Amino acid sequence: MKILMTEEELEEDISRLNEVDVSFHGRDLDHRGAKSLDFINEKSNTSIKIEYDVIDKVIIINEKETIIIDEFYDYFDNSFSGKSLLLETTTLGLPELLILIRAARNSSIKELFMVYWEPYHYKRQGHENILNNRDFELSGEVLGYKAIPGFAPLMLDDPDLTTQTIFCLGFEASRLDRAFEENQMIDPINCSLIFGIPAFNPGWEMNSFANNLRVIQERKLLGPYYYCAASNPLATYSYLKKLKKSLTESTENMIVSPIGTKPAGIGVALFVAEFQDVGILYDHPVKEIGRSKELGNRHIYEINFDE
Amino acid sequence: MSDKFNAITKNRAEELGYDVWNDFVLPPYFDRLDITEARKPRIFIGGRGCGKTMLIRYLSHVSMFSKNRKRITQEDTENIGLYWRIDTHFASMMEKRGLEDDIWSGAFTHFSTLQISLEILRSLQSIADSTFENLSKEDLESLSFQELLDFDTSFPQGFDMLVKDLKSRQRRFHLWLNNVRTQPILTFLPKELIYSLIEIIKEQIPVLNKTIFFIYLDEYENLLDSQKHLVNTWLKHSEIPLIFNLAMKRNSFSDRDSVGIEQISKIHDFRVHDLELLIDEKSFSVFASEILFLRLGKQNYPSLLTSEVDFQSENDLNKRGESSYQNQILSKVRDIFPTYSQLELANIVINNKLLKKRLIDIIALNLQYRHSELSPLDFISNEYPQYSILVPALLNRQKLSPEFIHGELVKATIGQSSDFSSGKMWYHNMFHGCYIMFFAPLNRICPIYSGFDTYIRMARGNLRHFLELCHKSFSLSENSNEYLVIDQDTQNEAAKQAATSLLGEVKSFGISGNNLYTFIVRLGYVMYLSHLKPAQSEPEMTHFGIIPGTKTLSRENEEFLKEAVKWSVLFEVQSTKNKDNIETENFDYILNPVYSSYFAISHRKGRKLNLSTDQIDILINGDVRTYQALYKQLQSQWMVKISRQNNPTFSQLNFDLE
Repeated sequence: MKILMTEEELEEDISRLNEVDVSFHGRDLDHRGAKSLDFINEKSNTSIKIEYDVIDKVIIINEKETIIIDEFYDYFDNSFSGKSLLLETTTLGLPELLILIRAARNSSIKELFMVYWEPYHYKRQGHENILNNRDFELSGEVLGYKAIPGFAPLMLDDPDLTTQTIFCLGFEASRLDRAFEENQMIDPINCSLIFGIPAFNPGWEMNSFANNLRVIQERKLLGPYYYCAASNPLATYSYLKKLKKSLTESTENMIVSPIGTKPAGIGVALFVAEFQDVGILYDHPVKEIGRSKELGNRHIYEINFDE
Repeated sequence: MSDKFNAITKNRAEELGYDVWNDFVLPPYFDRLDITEARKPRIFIGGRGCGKTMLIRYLSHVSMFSKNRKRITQEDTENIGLYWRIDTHFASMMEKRGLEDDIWSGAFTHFSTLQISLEILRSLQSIADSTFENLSKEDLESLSFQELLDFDTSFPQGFDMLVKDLKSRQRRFHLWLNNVRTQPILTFLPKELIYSLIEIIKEQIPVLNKTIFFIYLDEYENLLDSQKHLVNTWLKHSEIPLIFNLAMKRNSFSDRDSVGIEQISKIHDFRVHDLELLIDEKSFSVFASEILFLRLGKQNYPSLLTSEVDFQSENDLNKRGESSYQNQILSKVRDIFPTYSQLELANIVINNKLLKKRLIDIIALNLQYRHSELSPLDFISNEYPQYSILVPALLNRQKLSPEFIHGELVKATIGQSSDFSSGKMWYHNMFHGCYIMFFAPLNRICPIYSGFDTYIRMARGNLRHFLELCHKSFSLSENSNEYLVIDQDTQNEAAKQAATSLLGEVKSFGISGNNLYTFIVRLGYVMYLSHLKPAQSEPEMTHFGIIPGTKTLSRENEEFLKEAVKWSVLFEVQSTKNKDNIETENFDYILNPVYSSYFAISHRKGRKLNLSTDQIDILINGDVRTYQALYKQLQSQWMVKISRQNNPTFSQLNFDLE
């Protein structure tokens, strides 16, 4: 698989991304999402909203049509084979990306592009104190770790099988904590952590370290620890591939938990589209509406599955 | 952290693995569980950290037939425990997806049958590998599984081959479940396979012909409703040689669930063991100490263990219940975790130049406010500093003149009866609250969080929390002596660190974890504020009751509070009358005392804070602005003068919006 990446700070068009046939997007929750939707509407003839319902295990298309996840791949193949596609990954959730990227890989599509807008850099006080204003703010619900059909790992109490679990980490340590709380079969000894370093903006990596440190200590996650740039899906993809190749297939399983940045999630989605025996652990946080975030850098990724 | 104390760093059952034979201390209620005589299904209930998972892992074959177990008798093999934990993450896929319910029912049964059958075979392996002499690997290899061919003609013969085959079926099932449309349809195995397997074993291995298998299903509450229904029917048909037992968290079911305990009890016959009700506070103190001693004793401090009593033997359960034994244990553990007496606490202030000056300054300020000519030094007693600590609060009581207070102090210091020590019992009622208030704005932690009994109070029945407090103490301790003593200041610091860690975990508690966390932080902060009421007439408000507001408590808020209780963030107690006799809801709620050091509040259950339904709603659902307004209103109502910014825990709190 080949991934070409472009990063830009300007709002101007770039030459690589020409018009595409179809773009896919998710819920636009804030200023960043709204701006991104404008962008893809300019770039594509058709724009489709895709959402995955965790409980009912269906894909909802344009808020109207519902397709059972197991039947989605046939539908996708029939509808989009031979087309050039654009995924608006800022608004698409992780499950939607997993499903769409697998579907794209399994079909014979013409081209696959993705766009991602980083949140803008803003000055923070940088205090590492225990309590900050955010602790008093309401945060969203988290549905919890629920399997996505097609991507579910098999975790058994089998003494002959070792499962390596790899976490892509972000700012929210509670997501890592919850993974162990809800999936008690994960063995801390066989866990690796990937930090998004360098972060989107200098200094942000300290949030990742500081926040996750408590959980790392409490859960005794002794590593190994790895570092892949927060905005670089290729780095995450390559790293996971290297790890996979180092495992003994008959006795070692692999699970990935993409609870970090979206680009890392893209890297994970590309990886499991290729290695379909790797399981995904994901906690389905319910996104909050109206977090006002200015726009940061824009990334365009072009994927070529054949190379 | 010192390597010496690695023994107690593993305080979760999951960290110890499945063989807990060496680590398990029999709980004092163990003989009340009628483990070997039980023929009805049992349900074990308990919150996090009560020892539930540890218990059922102990009862399961990996521990019971551990290689560490020196002697295994024939009788021991008549009860074989099978620990069964379903990957509920995976099992949550077995519904909808365009397939009929009966297919999912067959799928779940198949999945369970495979797992239980494998576990049965593994239990035989455990016995063969153990010190039990009457079952060998050869005996297992000679087993014939002809009868299983009735279920599927492709079943191999031979023990190892059968194990491999079952694992292979698990992998195929996994593939199928992930892609129900694209994978070939599987033959689902029925539950009857398990019974056939057991029959084969009992017939062909004479030494096991009286054996009963006990399944212990952990985390029942995480199954889908349809799966719970299935398990309930299996529970109903539980009979020799296969008995089903369940383990679950307290409050796992809402009233609307169709598969909660009340519903099960209408149709089934079983026994419930609520592990938290089976143990009182004293027994818990002793039990917790024994666990600590076992861990420390094995590694670093053998003197903590005695050959007279074996924590791991059923024979010594009675001895362990005797007062003399219990008092001995408690005495030993109190030596390890000493506390400060109230006099010692007061002396910390009087003997420290800066702290003493602070006390004098506060008294001076209050005297000025009361327009009194008395000198602050008139209120400082070096012999009875514990009374001086109360003075700032007393001076804030308008009904008491400074002269009167001074007069009472003089009487108290010359041994006469006064309101300090008798009469109004100021000292008894107010010392703790005044002491906390004194330390509130300071950089150093109020030194009240030390002592074994304090640790037990803060743990409140949660073994894990208790061990966490101990672990933190040991890791901060620089003690390298032969005699194990953790000084009070170290214990204090450890309490705060443990509280901080444990508070952070709240965010991962269920679907509302983030909201629970925010709610607890807001509530803790309000309680902290209430501890700063200048007159200390209702000190140590660490629990709250709900009084009527402009509207009744909403259903959602009721559910939210239940959720908080389920996760032991709050504890529910029967409502007590408050001062004004106002009607309240039926329950009062205690903030989990393990968090008390984080919020710089008391770890004791003091007076009740009354919160209206509106205020509760703000704490649970209000945005930051509304919460800030509530906070400011309470600060004004309670006349709290101390600036929040001075407390280092909250010092970065910036209520000005950007």
